[in-house]
Amino acid sequence: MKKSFVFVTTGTQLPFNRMIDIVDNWAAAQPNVDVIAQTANSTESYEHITTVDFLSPDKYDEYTTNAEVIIGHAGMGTIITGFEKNKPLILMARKFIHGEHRNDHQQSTVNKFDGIKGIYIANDENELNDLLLRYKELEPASDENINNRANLIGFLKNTIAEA
Amino acid sequence: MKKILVIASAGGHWKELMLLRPAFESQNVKYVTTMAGLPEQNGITNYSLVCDSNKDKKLRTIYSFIQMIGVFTRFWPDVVITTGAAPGLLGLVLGKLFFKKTIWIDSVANAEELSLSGKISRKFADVVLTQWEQLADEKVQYKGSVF
Repeated sequence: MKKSFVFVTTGTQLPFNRMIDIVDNWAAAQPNVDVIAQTANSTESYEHITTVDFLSPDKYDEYTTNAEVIIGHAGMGTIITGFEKNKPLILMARKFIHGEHRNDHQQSTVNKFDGIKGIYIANDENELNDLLLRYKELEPASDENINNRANLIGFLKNTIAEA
Repeated sequence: MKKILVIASAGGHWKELMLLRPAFESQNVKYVTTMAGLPEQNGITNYSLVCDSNKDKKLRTIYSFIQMIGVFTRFWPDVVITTGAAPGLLGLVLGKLFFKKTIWIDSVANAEELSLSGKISRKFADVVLTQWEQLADEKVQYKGSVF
């Protein structure tokens, strides 16, 4: 049986151990899933997943293309990749209270994407674990029919017409 | 029909611009970007190239600006629009100098604060747009976003 492949990314700036810990625990019970996680200088070691600090653009492209699902911090680079590759995307926001970022702007990011097809928000460790357990059922991310975009295009059209 | 000069550097800036393309389609558009072959990927033939520039490369910035002057004066737009980065800012400066309408669209990647070029455009551009509601203020407007 061909193994499933799951790609995890914390972006390139800061580690995000709270998210990786959950993925590692989940992977322990998934003999048929290979996980590669890009962990940005995380000092922890993980038993059930393969970790790399950083990836070349080519490797990033290869892993995101081959992934059945992408799990990431709520960074825009990760999200845009999910749309481009049409992959189910599980997002977890870094939290200031855990020292994971300078502020809580990633919460604004997940709020913006909540409800968009193929994007799954994990608000805490339990929700991330629940999403992982049903990763086979998740739909690919699709950025068609986004109201925010239609609004921006409409505004630009009007502004141009008034020039 | 309005003449619109639409500028975006290669990479995320260009990708975002392409998502907003329906806003320009009914007008006379000229696209400007920084990478050969990129517009063709989107089926665009009405474009010009300038070299990329940033604040750390002064000579390239000057050269890019000279190229932009050439593009600008030949096309002579009514409106200049950019999603960034530095070459787009240069285009807006020219637009402002010649009393054209200037529109800065800050990248959706900037959820914490406006980009450096966005902050500069804020000082003079006619319309400055952020794609994040929390970054809107008396000068910077939120009117929607690519996502």
